Amino acid sequence: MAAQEARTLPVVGLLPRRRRLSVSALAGLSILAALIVLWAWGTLAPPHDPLATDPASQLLPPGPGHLMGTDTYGRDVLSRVMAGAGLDLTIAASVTGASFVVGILVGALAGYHGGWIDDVVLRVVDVILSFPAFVLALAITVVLGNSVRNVVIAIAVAYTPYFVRLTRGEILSARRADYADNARAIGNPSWRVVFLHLLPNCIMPALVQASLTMGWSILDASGLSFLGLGIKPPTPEWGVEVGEGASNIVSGEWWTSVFPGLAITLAVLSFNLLGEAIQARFRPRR
Amino acid sequence: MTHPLLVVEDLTVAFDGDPRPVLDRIDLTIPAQGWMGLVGESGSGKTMTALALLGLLPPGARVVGGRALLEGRDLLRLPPDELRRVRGAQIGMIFQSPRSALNPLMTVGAQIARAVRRGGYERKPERAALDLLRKVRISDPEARAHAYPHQLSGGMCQRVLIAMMLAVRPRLLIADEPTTGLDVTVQAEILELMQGLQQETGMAILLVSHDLGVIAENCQRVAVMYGGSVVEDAPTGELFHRPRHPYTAHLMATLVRADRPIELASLVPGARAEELPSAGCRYAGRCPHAEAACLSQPVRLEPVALGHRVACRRHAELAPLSLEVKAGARQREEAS
Amino acid sequence: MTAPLLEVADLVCEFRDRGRTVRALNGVSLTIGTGETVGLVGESGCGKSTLARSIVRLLTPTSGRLLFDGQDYTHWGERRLRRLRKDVQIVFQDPTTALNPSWTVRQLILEPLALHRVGEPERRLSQVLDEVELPSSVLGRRPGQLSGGQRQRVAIARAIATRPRFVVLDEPTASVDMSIRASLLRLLRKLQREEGLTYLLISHDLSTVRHLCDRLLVMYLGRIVEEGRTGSIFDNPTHVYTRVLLSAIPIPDPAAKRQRLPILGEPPSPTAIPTGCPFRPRCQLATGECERPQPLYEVGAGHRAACRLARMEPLGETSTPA
Repeated sequence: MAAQEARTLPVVGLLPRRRRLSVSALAGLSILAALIVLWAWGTLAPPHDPLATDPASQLLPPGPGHLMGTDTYGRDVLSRVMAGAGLDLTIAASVTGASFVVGILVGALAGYHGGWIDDVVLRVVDVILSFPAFVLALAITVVLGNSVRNVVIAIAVAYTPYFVRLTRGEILSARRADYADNARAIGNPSWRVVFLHLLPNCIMPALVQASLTMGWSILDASGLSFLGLGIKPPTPEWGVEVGEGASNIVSGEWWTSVFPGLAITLAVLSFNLLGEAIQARFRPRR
Repeated sequence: MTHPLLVVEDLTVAFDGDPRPVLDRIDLTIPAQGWMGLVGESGSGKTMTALALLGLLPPGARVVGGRALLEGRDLLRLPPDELRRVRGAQIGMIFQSPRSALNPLMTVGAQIARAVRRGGYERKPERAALDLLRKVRISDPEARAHAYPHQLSGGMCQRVLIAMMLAVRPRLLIADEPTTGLDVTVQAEILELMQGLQQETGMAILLVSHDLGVIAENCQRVAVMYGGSVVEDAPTGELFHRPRHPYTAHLMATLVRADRPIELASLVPGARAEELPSAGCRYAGRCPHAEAACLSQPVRLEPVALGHRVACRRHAELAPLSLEVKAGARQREEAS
Repeated sequence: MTAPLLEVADLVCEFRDRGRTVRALNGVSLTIGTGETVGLVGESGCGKSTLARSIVRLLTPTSGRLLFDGQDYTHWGERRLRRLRKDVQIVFQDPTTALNPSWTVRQLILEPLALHRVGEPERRLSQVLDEVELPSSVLGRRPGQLSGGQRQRVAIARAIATRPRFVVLDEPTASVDMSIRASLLRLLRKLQREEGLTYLLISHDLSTVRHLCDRLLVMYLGRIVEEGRTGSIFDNPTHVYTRVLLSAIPIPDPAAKRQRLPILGEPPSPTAIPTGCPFRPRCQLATGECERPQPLYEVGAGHRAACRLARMEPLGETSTPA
């Protein structure tokens, strides 16, 4: 009889439905764990200095001593991929963190308050979303200049509107719920109603979006550096590495591009899987 | 008693993968005319019983035993298109949210006209539809006939459904909480219309409800359900005034009535949450008179008087007790 | 006569809904004294929920006044209202939607104590739990893990935690099973005695109201059409709407006599309120006089009805069975 009741509750709870991890979650977490291990290894004890050039060891194929081979300048690809992991994951975390926090705050404010604030926010969001994220990030980077910091800002600006819209939508419907009225009737000031009562129930879509944003921001950052904007060589970033090694594919030295490219793919895959796992696990009870 | 219309024997329904049945050997006898009530709380299985009879069980639920004989034919074993024909012509249904039972894309007038055509009684179905709207006391029927279900209130949608039943004239109408959620004055009107419907067509109505007031006012016989089984089945007067099953007694003793004040302090304390036992009587976990045998031995409906059946192994010993004691009061409670 | 605890004077509440103006409250006045339990009955659209929300200032009325303990709080801002909320509380109809599903019971009951800085919150928490007859094992659970009756008790606990003086109960037994209804009502009455509460009980279920309330107010389309002591209204319902309402309640006794009073037409909409008596279009006994607004006429001691029938001798047959 309790099970029947749980089936009919219309509101979202934060409780997971099952205790075991799903396949997506396991896969996503494993890949992410592997990347983090790579990062740690590369920080603490990299096989070689990622920036050290060695003209004698140019373009060596993968083998003992250089598990992923060397690039045009004789730098160890594995060490560079490891360093890239650190940079790209940091970029991803910064972008996601910033757009998540700002997006939720603005979205909650717009959704709860309504009125002119909501109108203004919606218009700004519409404008930003009318540009493809990558193009927007590109434009902002060009304006601000090429640096890691500016790349983070540019991509964060492009993704914040998603969080704003998601949160605003959830807050709009949660605002009408009886428990919101109840919270006000107890004596809660508006900010507590929004942050302590409404947001915990509204945050699930934003969490899923956050996971996806981690992956997409890596794609965008590496895309920008591949094009020669944002982060420039010799900084070991995956996109930079793919760009530097692109011309070598034609001549048969595939490892200089493929390994960093693979790293990008795996990172994005892991975040997509995690996003899927979060969504499945915290499904609204119907 | 006249020849029964529908005899249900041992109806058992279970969800896939769940060993405990959600309906456990239901026995019901629905007379050919008049109203029969099926009463129980949420979770008692009364809606599931209605759905099982109509062949509309939710996905995952399956009839695993029993028969439902309508004029010699077992409803539970009919092939799908036969069952659909029976559902359309012989058995009608009214459910709790009438708006969702109507086609949202057709005007109500068109839907009634369609029902009229199916009933085969009129040559001018649109005219008949208007007459039926008038009959169910919908004002301004010409305008209303062009309305869509979402433009009408719940009470009005229910009237439209009753109009459709008048057109089709099924032998049995299954009404599952038809007035729950409606205002009490609207409820009174709808039930009155249903009375008219029953008298005009001579049909049988199975009224499924948790509201004992509605049941008392309309039904000639009542069956009480608890935890997926029928625990008592009797003429209405008998059930309300001389219940034999401890659960029925509990319901009657704790009734909150509008027409006379009951001293609240003397009511039996509310039941605590219980686990349904795997074998034996479903009420045993909560029953103040349960013995060891009640928990382990399965119990069946047995006749105790003419037309009165009870599923309780101790019904004979408990019979002389007063209503309150049967329901579980130890003695008059001290005023709390 | 001591000063009333709550006073509502000529309250009007209008909303705009899809371009039309809805007048949910059309001039409501009432007083509630300390320790009373007053019932508010009426059907959907009569404005009882709007009245409940106005009284606890979840809404601001369009015009009229609200006074608690003599203080006019009609237009108070949120900060002043915060103090009021320690004394004036509300229990909503459906505890499934009225309790935050991601909070535990413990958090739910402690929150009002923290907000209003009640001393020794832990002790008050276990006290309140005892009073609503819930075991401490529910503290760690979330509302979704409780039964309907338990949820409603948690909602009640949350409302009385700060020892309010006045509690609005909006259909407290509507969402629970019938066998639990009686014990919830018993609990409410016990709490009233033990905590010295004053109740405004809103219900469409007249049987609930009969058991708990000293006085009743009958509402229709945003106005109070009859008021008086509970017994007096049940014995001698005067306004035609009250008679119709009482006659419509199904009685769970097959032997009871029933005489249903007819009602014309369909339930009304608060967008088009008739002039004069709001019940006029549906009343079988309406006359030309009913087109003028009817004041509340005296029917008996403390019993008033806004109906011309109040001025006549009580009729031989009343509408309540037996």
